[in-house]
Amino acid sequence: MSRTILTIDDSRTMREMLRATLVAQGFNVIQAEDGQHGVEVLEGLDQDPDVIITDINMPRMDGFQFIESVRGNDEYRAIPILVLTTESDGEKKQRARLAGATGWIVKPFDPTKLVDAINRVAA
Amino acid sequence: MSNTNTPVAANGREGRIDHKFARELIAFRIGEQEFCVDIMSVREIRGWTPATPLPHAPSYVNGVINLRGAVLPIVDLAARLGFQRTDPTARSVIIVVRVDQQLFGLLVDAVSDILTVTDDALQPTPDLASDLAKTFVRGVMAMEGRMISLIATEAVLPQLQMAA
Amino acid sequence: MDAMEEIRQTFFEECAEQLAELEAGLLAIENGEADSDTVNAVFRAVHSIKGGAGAFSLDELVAFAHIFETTLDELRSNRLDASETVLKVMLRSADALADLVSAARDGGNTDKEKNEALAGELRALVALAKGEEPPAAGAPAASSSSVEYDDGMGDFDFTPVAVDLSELMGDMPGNRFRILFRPHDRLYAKANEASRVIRDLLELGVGTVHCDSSEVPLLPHLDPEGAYLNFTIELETEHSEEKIREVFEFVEFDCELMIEPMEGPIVRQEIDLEGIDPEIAALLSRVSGGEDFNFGSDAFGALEGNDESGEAEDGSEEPNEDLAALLKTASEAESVSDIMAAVAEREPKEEASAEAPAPKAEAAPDKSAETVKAPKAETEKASASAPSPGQTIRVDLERVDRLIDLVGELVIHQVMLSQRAYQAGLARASEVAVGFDELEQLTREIQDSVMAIRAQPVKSVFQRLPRLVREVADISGKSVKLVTEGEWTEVDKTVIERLADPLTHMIRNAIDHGLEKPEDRLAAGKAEEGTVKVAAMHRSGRIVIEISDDGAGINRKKVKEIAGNKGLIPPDANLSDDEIDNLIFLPGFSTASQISQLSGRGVGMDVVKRSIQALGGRVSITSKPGKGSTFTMSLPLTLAVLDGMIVSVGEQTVVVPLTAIIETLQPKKDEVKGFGGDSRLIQVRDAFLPLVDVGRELGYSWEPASATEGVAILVEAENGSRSALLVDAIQGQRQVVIKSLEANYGRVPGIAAATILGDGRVALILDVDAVVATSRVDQSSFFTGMQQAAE
Repeated sequence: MSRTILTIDDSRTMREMLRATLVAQGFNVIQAEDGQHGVEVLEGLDQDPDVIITDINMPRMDGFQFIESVRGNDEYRAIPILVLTTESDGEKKQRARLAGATGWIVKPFDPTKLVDAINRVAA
Repeated sequence: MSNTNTPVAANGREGRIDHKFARELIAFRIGEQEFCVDIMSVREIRGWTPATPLPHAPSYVNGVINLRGAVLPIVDLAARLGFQRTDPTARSVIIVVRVDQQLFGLLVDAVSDILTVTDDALQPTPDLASDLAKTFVRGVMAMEGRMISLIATEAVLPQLQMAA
Repeated sequence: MDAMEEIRQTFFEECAEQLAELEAGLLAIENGEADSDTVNAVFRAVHSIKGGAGAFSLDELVAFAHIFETTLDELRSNRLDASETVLKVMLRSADALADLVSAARDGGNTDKEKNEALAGELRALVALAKGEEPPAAGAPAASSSSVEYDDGMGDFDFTPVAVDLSELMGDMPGNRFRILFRPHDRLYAKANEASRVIRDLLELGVGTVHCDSSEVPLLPHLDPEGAYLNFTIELETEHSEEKIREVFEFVEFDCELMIEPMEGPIVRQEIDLEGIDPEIAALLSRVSGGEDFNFGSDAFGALEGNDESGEAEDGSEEPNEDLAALLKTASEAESVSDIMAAVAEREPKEEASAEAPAPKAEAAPDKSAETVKAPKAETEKASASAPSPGQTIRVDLERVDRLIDLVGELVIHQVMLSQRAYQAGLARASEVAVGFDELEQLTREIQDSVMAIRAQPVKSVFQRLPRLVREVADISGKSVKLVTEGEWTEVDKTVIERLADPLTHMIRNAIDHGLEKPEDRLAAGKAEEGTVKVAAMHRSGRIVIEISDDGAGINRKKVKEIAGNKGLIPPDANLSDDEIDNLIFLPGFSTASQISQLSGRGVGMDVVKRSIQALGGRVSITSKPGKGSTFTMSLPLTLAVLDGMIVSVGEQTVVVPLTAIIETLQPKKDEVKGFGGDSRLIQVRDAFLPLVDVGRELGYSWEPASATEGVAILVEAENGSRSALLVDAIQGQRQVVIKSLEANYGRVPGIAAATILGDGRVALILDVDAVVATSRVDQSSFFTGMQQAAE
């Protein structure tokens, strides 16, 4: 069974990019448009995604808040979360890590690295 | 312009197949004369329905009719070629042609034939033809003793100011 | 490839939205209307553009977006004040960013020097915010080809390994490392797994894993969230140490890690199984063999308590039943999926509905049907507040257009069908007739609803205006404030698309010709900064857009002089103020004694007027000397349907747009007066109005129609002048579907468009203003210039 990735990004471009890349690699992709939406989508899913990939800078609920919210929920705390950071910003990575991110992907990502990162965290 | 609008002319140069490239033409009559248009530019052929006259239109434009929701201008081809205006009857025919994105109808007396000819059958318009005829006729061909003129459809509509 | 192209398109679409948001946000900040959300949104807009641009390797765009974003970040964190100077730089940067986006999209070039200078200004702002010396003027710019900008904290980066060490160091199949790996509990809290790390490690070569479980407490003391295992991995690999560190990338701060090169052969060691559940130990031994790792990894997860059962967080003395049960399950399980199934079973998830509420249809744009005698409707101010976003869906515009076309056809066929039925003798009171009426009602409602889908607020056009105003103000050396109103006024997309051009020209004109230079304004006792106001509103089933300036107003003396000099009016013409003002719409008229860079680049007001008329719109001007001018442009709400009066002219049927009609009259013999040549006037109450013979104007008849046998339709042109159209008879009123004449033919003077009537025939829709204007040319010598315009 192919694995399911939940992607959260407010940029349509990034969402489409992620989807195209992941689908080509045989993943199922579920999309959300910001952290809040991500939480809602997650709650609506019958089966947890194998990995969540989330952007940081988003309206309503940013990536940090999203991660904290997921990690604060026993039901979801075991889902690996990768954050997308545009820049190689150590501060952001550190914050994401503190919030509970499993790993990160630097934008612009190359497909191989993206898949590598997923494989690295997914069961 | 004309080459791009008539694929036949463009393809005619690629004579890779053994026999020469054949094109199909729809021949029709205006009075006693025979003309034809390339079948590739013809969308449909339909009977005459009264047209709504357009103000300030040239005399060879009969007006517009409803073609399944689109407004279709009708050109009286006889008048356009400098002959007497056609007095449309129930037997008159409208040949709907397309040039680029534009659709318009040619009012003719009757459709007479569908011809299959090769490119070399087409001869240049004779010098003695009037300038008007030269503008609208791409060439002539002889078929079983008949002379048939190929209409340059793209030249037929008046050059009007299009969408501002 | 196709998919990429599509994403690229999405990117540019999104850029346009982000740029609009950026500009709107910056303007709100400038006006002091912003809160932290606005600043965040502005930051995010640039951030998103940068992100997408990076994906497409648009390096120039990325570089500029980066410095812009950095500056905005300073603004966001309140280290930089939103002063006027700062915002001016930001607004110009937004413009430059927009140019870069366009250039990236269309492959054009941008003004590199200008952008570089602007980037320099931004850098200076950042330096200012950080309390540093601003970089020297000649400071090297950030490399435009580099996407990453090291801020000194880049130690966590994915470091691209460009050089393969094994290649440099020759054939080394046997690098040997001893790796000490002691996960902290927080490693598991982030959904990382020691087992996965080890799995990845073992993929790099051959190795053994020694698991030290001596720290695992007895069950009663076991913290399910705790981490107790230490691992020693001895690895023989052809990869470098760097590659090994990469494996630990995500966990390096959540574990103790030591990697040391080893000498000598690897001694295979058994995992120390002491003090740990034999079943788990069995699992672990498989791990060390590097086989069937999935099995092991999840067992680790279970053991370390990094699972769904983490209830006992306080490390209570009570044995954790959940964990015990789970361990038991694990020991009995045949495979990991069984374990997971067991876990899942114990915590059934609530089924949540993923269905979104049905999207709400937006209200249809105001399309109030008018009666013939409708009093001029009062201004209905469009709501100034933004509608709440609600649920939305994205639909390909082509689908909507197709739907609108189909509904248009449906309307025509429905009318045709009922007309045929009545012609065939259907009784008006019959049940079928009632059915037809209901069908008609429904069809109209469908049509309105479908049209509403395509209705859009004029905001999309308005939001381009600030930039335009800035640019024009800049070039013309004027100081301008733009005020917009009614940006949420909705109008059909067909109209929106064609609104921008005339609006642009009129605003340009208002700044270039309308507003005075700052010194002249001060001398006139006005504020140095001129104001241009653009307001949109619905009025009488049309959209009206007013462009007003508080400039000097029309210099009537000069306008009249120019018009006279150019032979547009007779030198001795006696014109009202209004008529003089409207002379500027005549072809060949240009008030600027020398063609200015701005207006000269564009087009004259005559072209503006013509393009508006082509949309079935009208434009007029009112002006007060010293106070300013107002251009009023009115357009139909849609270019798809129109409410019309169906009239007979000779043998033809013509549609007169209802919006132009004031009333209809039955002319009496003594009310109609000859007025030189064929011209006639009709007396309506105490006014004499020109009587326009529509049949003759359209060339449908040569003989003047008998006024007393026809009907006079009193119409008002956009400039307010009234006339009476003489037609033979009125057939009725109807909403008609507008069909383009231009698609297959071209523009026809005096005709706005065509439609298809119930009998299937084409009827022409009258362009009332044009017909009235042409007739005036015929009838008087006033506007000789107009004659040229008409031909």
